[in-house]
Amino acid sequence: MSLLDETVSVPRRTMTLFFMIDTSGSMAGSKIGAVNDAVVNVLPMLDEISVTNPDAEIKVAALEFSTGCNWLYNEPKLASEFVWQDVQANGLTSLGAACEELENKLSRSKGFMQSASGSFAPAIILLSDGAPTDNFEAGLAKLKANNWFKSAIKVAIAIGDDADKEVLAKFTGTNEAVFTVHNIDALKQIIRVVAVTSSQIGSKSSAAGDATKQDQVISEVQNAVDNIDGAEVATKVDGSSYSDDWD
Amino acid sequence: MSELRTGEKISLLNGGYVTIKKELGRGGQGIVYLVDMNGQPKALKWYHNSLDQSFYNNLASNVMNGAPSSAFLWPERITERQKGSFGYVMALRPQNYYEFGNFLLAKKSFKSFQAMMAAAMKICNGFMMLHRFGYSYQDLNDGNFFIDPMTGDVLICDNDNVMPQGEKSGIMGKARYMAPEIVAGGIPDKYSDRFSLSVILFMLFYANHPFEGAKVVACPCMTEAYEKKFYGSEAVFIYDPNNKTNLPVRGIHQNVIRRWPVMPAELRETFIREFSPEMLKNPQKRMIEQNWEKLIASLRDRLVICPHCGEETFIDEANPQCMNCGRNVDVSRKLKLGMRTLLMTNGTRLFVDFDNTPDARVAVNPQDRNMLLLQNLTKDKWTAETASGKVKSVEPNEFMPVKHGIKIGFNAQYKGEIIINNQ
Amino acid sequence: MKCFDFHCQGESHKATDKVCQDYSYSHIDENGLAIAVVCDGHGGKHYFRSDVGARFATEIIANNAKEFVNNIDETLFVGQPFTQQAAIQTEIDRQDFRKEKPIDVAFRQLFASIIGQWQQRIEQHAAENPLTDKENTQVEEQYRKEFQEGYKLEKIYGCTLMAYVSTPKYWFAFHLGDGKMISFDQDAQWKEPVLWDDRCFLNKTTSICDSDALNEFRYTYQGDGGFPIAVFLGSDGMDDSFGEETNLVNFYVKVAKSLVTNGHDATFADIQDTLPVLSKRGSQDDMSVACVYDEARLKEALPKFILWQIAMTKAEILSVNKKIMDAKDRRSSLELSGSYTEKSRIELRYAQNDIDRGYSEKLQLVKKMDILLKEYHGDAFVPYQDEVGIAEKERVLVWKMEEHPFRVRLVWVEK
Repeated sequence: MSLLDETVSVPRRTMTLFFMIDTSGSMAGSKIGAVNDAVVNVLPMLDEISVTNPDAEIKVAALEFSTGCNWLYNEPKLASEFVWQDVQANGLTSLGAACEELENKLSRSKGFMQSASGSFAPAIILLSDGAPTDNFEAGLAKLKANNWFKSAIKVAIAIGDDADKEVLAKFTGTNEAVFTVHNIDALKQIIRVVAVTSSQIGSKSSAAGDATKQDQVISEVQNAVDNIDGAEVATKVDGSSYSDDWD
Repeated sequence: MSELRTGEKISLLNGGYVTIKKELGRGGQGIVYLVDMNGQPKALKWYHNSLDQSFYNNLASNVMNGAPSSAFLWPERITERQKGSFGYVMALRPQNYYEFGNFLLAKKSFKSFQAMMAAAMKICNGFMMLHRFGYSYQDLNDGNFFIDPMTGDVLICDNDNVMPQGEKSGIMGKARYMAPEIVAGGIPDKYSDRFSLSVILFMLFYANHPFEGAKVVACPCMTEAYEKKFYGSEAVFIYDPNNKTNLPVRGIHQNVIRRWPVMPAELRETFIREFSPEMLKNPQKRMIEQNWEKLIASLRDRLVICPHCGEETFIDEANPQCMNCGRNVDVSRKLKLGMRTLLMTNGTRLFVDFDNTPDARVAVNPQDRNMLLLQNLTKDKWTAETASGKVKSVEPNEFMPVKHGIKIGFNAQYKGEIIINNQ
Repeated sequence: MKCFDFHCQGESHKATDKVCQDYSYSHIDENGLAIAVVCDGHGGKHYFRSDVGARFATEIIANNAKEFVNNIDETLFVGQPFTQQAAIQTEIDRQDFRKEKPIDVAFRQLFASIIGQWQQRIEQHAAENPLTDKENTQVEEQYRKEFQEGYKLEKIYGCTLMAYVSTPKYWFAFHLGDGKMISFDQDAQWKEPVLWDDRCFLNKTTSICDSDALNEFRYTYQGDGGFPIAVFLGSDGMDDSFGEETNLVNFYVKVAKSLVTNGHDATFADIQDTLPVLSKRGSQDDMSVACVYDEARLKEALPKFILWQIAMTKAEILSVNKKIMDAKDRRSSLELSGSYTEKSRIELRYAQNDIDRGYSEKLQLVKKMDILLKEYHGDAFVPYQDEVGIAEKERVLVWKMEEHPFRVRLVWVEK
């Protein structure tokens, strides 16, 4: 006789990884192609982390923003089941609207999240190559009051020097979590590194008071960035020493 | 127990009546109702049980004598004895006043040190006037004080327990606020009130009780025997320099742990002296209200706006560092006012008298950022005499320059002189 | 009245050779005073003696609660209705400027005594127990240094705490930090008797080591004759294993039923076997449970517990049915649209996935339902059935005539 029979359910704990992808006009061409390629390739790696991790399973959600914003699917999907649909680039950069939309979904009652018991803090990866064209501050202010967002691992990838790194730093809460890339290969590599690292660290049980998960992610990604040509931490050397090959 | 119904009319001593509107709250002694008195909304405190005639007579005579100061929400009328009990009428407490207990739990906090100092001043003044009227306060506790966190204005309630000195109301106060000799069974008088005043002021400044430290938190349940010990026979000040057995404890007495080192040194010295074993044993030696007033005034004279961070800070002239940002504050400009020295920085308000309303505001001359100006916030004209002997007048709301050697006559009682140190 | 408590090392702690940092206690004395306590020492490298901190906190709470009950003026409690007080910060957020009552002052004294004595105990422990070899090798230098300087020792020993205390005339409970306390009444209705503190979220929690710990206590009391029939105190390792709170409650219902049907000792033995397994399947964290229950009243409520489970399961079945039907609708509209874009192919796949997953969940739920129905009705129970069923019916492709007389197309229909 056991207390854990069919009448008792012990669901797996979950961690949700959010991609927030800038699909404005300036992303058209090689940049958006690289993003599509990189995400498709990283999904199986996330699935592997999910399957081999005793602590939690990983779910993925993706929000693209240009003139307005749009979820790829209206619920987070298991990494193994997430089918990436290539995103197209055109329009403006409504990052403020995207923040508000993310805020809507970072909730249990009407959104993507489950009970805080049994959940891990989400990881959020923001990719952008420009500056917001809408009221970003207002959107971010709402998002910053959200408990899930406060606890989340937040990392931003700035694509090229036109990306507004200050805005990205406001989003992540620190410019140390903003990583800049200057070429397509670097972009692909950094997406992989950030997604894999965030998922690995984000889906592990941790304890209060240690280095936050975000800090752990930052320090691991920083180490990796040192080995990627054309990628850098926003706070390090200025980008002018690198040549931009976006055109 | 006697309760009143809405619409009931209660006749007052010496004529007239009030009509019951609704209940506002109830406590151990009675129920407070909203009532109508000649078209005016008032509060009626109605006792659960009819108290004895001497209590009734004392209350009636307090009504006759009127409030000692505006700090008291004083009984305005007393009812006739009826329906097995009686009560008294007082003004309604305005909405923006919060019970002192909320400040102790940090649920409410003063908007500024200026407001905190105003509250301290008003309480001192209230006690002084009370004693001048020959009363003593018998049932002092944190539930009696209501404070406006914005202005620091204070209302002292439950004044039915105010008695002529030497008499005992029969309603015992809370031991936490009683002088040790009263905890031991003595009769409250102005000396024991002075002790209560220093407890209240300590709690106002530090939001902790001066005797509640490690010793007191050792017991899970505060029995009468413990109370007698901790607030009476074995009371030890938490920062007694010669007895470290009752230090504040982290996690419990966080307010005082944070504030004790940053508030001005004179406050620390005064409380260490007032709560020393000697003062606990010798009620006559306790500090009188006027000296508390002077101390608070002198602290307020050195409360300035930091030019670097824009926050209020108390200044120790020997080491003029801002409490908040740690940078040095230029305090070379001063107003000498008898024995007092008021420091002037841009934005600082000056309190010349003790009425808790700012009398002057320091501003920067828009034409010359290095020159400060002084604005007359009073309703009276000031007269100013420059160093060279020219006499000028400063109308209400007008400005005058802050220049070395100018003598200002604020009114017949207060005359000051501007001193700029390096000139 | 009976009680039990158990705490055990979490699965992840086994791997990293970390001791169990939970501690639990339960006791009922000859005067009918029942006390249950659970304390959860913080994980994390900073809190390297939190196991000791949790044990001290548990012992101090047990002692102080007893002394409190022995000395308190009972009239403070007698006649008081079920009353919950939130943490001070919660009251500030709600603009609640209520007047403190004597009973609140008494509780603050009890809580202050718990923090104060705990501080004293850990200081003494730190003085008498210098860093061990293991600590010297495992603890980061920064924290070792803080320990040696005696700087904020409470952090090193930090833990959460919760307690339930009942006497023949009244009961009270208090909580500081996370973990969940669940109580049941005679109608088998559950609640969290103590209000939650929103600062406890995901892996963040309030703690006895916070500088403002005294203001972080939340508490509840009742003295009007109402008593819970069972109260369970569980550390966060428990609730993190169950996700949705009703899953945790369902587990305690299972325990409650077992206490009635299998008896105290067998159930307690089961708890000891189950918690480590649960840690492995669930949170990986240390696990502790303490429980006080009224055997006779629990027995009376047994059928109601089963009915509650049946109702919960029914609600789950309905929600899965809805998911299945929605996915079927999506699938047929995609099939009928005749669109073969990449997007609609993906959507179709998801719809099919959702249907399949829905049915597999449904199968589990129906099994659970049948067990519960059998428990309630006995062997004569009627197995659960509904229109949606437990598996998708086989589908076949058929030609379907469209409104246009010359157009036909292939569509799937259920057999």
